[in-house]
This record gives sequence, C-alpha cells and structure tokens, in this order.
Amino acid sequence: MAKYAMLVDAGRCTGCGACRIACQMQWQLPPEIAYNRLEHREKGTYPKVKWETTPVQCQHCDNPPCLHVCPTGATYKRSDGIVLIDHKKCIGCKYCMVACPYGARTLDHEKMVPEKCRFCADYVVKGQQPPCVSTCMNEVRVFGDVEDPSSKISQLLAGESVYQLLPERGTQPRIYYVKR
Amino acid sequence: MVSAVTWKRISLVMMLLGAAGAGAILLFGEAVLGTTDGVPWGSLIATYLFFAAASVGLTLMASLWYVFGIEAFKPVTKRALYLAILSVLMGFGAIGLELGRPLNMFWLIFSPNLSSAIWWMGTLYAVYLGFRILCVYCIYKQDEGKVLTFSRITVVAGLLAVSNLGSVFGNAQARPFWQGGAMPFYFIIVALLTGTAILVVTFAMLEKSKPAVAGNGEALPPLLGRLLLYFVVAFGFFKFWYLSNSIYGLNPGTFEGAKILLSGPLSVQFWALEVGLTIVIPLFLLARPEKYTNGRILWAALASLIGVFFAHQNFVLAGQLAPLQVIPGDMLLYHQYQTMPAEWAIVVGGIGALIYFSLWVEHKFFRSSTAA
Repeated sequence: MAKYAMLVDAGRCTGCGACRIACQMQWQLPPEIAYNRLEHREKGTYPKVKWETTPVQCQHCDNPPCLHVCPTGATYKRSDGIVLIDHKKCIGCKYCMVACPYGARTLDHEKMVPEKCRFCADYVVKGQQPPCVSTCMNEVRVFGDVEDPSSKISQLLAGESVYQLLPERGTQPRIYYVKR
Repeated sequence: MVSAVTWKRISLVMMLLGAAGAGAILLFGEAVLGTTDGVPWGSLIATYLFFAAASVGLTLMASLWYVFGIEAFKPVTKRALYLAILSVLMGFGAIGLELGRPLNMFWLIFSPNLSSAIWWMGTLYAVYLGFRILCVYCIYKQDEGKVLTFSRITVVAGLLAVSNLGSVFGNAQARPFWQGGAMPFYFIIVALLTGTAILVVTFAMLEKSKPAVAGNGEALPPLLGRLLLYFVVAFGFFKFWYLSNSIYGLNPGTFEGAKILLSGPLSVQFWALEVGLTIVIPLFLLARPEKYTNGRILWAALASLIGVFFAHQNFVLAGQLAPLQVIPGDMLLYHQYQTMPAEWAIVVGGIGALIYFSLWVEHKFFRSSTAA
C-alpha cells in the first residue's frame, strides 16, 4: 500500500505563486479560495537580512486534529495517508478550521464546506503529480510514495536533513521541509 | 413600568429584525457574516453560548427547589423551567444559522464521531432539552415522583452539557487561549451568573411577581441579588487569575489572547463592556446587601446580562484574532472581525423572542393560575 508524502525545499522558492494558481486551475477554484499559501518572514538583522518564503498547505497529518473534532466523520483519512472531506456529511460547523494548527482550511462559500488541499487524491493514484508539484519551475515540492524505496521522495528523505511544522502539536504531518 | 402589551410590541419588532437577519443569512450565507478563514467563529457562536449557558443556569436555579428542596426558591422555579427551554431553543436557532449545512445534521446520528466535543455537545443538549420538556410536562400533570426523577436527570444532563460546551473550546489544541481544563468550570460559573440575572429581570418584568415572598418569609429579589453577587465575584475571580496567568505565563497563543483583551483590538469591549458591565457595576450595586432595593438588583442584573454577552464574544474572538504561528518569526497583524448587521439582528431577535414567548407562557399558564 502506498503512503503518500511531500518534501518541500522552501529555500528554492521564489514566491512566484504558480503553485497556488495551478491548484486553483486544477480544482476550478474562484480567485479568493486557495488550498495552498506562501508564508513570508523577514530574517536576520541589517545588513544581513533575508526574505524567506515557506509554502504551507494541509499537512495530511497522521494524527489529524480536524478528523478528531469533526462531529459527523466528514473528515476522514485514507489508508494511503491522504486526509479528505466527505461533502455530504459536512454540517459546516467549522470546528475543523478552528482545530487545525496550520490554518490549512478555507471556507468554500458556495458549498459551505471548509475545504483544503486534497493531495490531488484522484490524480496521484493514477501516477500523476499534483499540479503544485509539476508546475513549479524550481522543483520546490517533491511528491511520492514513501513506502517505495526507489521513489524520488524516499531517496531524498534518506539523504536530506528534514523537519516538520509544529512537531510539538503531535499531529505527525506527512509534509517534510528541508532544513536550511 | 412598561406594560406587558408594550413589551409584546417591542419584542415583536425585535423578532422581525431577527427574522430579517435570519433571512439574509439563509439567502447570502457567510457573505453577510463577519467571519473569515482566520476567524471562523464569530458573534453567532457567542449568541449560542449565551443562550445555551443561560438555559443550564436557569435549570440549576430551578433545581434549588425541585432537587435540593430549598423552599425560598419555590416561587421562581416554574418560570425558570420554561425560560430554560426557551433559552436553549434560541441558542439552537443561533447555531442553526451559523452552521453552513444544517440539513446534514442527521449524520450526527448515522455517522457519529465520539471523539468530537461538538458531537457530545449536540447529544448532551438534546438529552437535556428532552428531559427538561418531560419534566415540565410532569409538573403540569402533577406527577411529583417523576418530576423529582426527571429534575435530577436534567440537572446532571445540563451540567454535563454546559461543561462540555467549555470542553469544545478547552480541547481545541490549535487555540492555546481557550485550551485547558478550566473551561468547563468557567462555563458553569457563567451559566449560573446568566441564569440568576435572567430570573431577576423576569421578576421585575412580571408585576404579579414583584411582591413575591418565599416560603420562609424572606423576599426573593434580595436573595437572588446575593446569589448574583456571589456569581459575579466568582466570574471576576476566574477572569483575573486566568488573564494574569496568561500574561505572566508567556505561553505562545495564550499570551496573545490575553493581550488582545487587555490592550489589543478588543480592549475597549473588554474593559468597558465585559469588566465594567459584568463585574464593576454589579459589584457596586450589590456589595452591600442592607442597601438592596428591587431597582438596584434589577440594574445589576441587566448590566451583567449585557456584559456576559460581550464576555462570550470577547472569549470567542480573543482565541482567534492572533494569527496561528505556523512558521516561526515575527507576529503578523491581528485578524480582523466585525459583527455584521445580520449578526446583531439575530442577537436582538433572540432576546425579543425570549421576551415574547416568556410573556406568552406567563399569560397562558400563570395568570390564570394561583400557583406561581
């Protein structure tokens, strides 16, 4: 069974936002809704100052708070690690939005469902890459099956020093970031 | 004194406003609410908390006679019971409008997630309301044995429901300002404070009840006034220690939430409306029981009721206005939240409906009866 994960090398990110637009195109989202975002931070002190950009999206946690708080089980986790939403069960209480420490949910005002990154579940099982991965000119994101030792992500994870966002929360994210 | 007819007219206008607000929310959804992705819970949640906690507070007040046999509270008991039912129904109305897809609520039964505090909240409040209604039915059937049994069950269900309401916030691990085991106790204090204040106002509004005298000969309003004083002190005590610990503890998220209230974007609303109306004015009016008059107690109750509503609003917003610190670094700007006209309309409409139906029940069941 595949176990999907993502490796993000934020040091390569130029902040162009193509990942956001590609995702919006893939899922036919209106301009105000995005399943991924870029967080910017100013680091250092003058004259050694730099501008860091970090892509953030649903972390598809192995211990997802949004799943635990959902009263109807509308949020669920597949055996391949992808966290998804069953729209027909969602009551729109927005507890998942409140519970997510990554602020990964965004409300779809038309469907009244707190949406998020789906890891392009329907496409990756066919061997395709999520558009946020394939569209990036600097190969910031690498997506793949970490159970397959020959996959690119497995090999990179074996060689790189990585970290996860907010590990102290105990959410066990499936997105890894390359240490800078 | 404003007559019952005038109150009915005023409350009808308030209900019409509420209906307009509800219509706008049903037609335009979140677009007419102040909520955003950064602040997903807003004033409608605060309104729900107000009514849901008030209902349990009223139930606990009613239990002083029905369960604990303290005769002094007998005159307020039946009114507390119907107000408890009306109040929780107003709360359900507010949260029903807040939910994006309320018609999907049947999944709470067919696909329950027992690890969700909101699932327990819905279940416990449904059980609480069911037994509350059953209890009132038995009172009118004069089945005293069942009244006692159902009253005991309702008190337990109510305590579980309101403390679980605190737990909805207390176990939100992404919002440190809310997180912690103190929340269930805080909600019980607020419930008692609100329930007592509503009973004081109810007595003042109903001229028949003005000379109400308890069984032991002690006038009821001063007794309620003293209780209100105790709950105001408990509320102030909790707030003082909770906020001072949050500030001195410097824990990320908790510190920011307290700062938002004390000197941040909610500071005016916190100091003037929450501290001023819920704590300072009631303490000033109620501190010396020998000076109690019905007017003093009424003003203290009215001030604390308005203050408690804003306390709920402050509580809900303070946990969300500070952006989540996903990436280490400088604190970003606070999220913005503004209560929109449709949300105010629901608040006004909910209070109007509570007044209108209280008068209707009073007229229907109490005016023709000698047993208050």
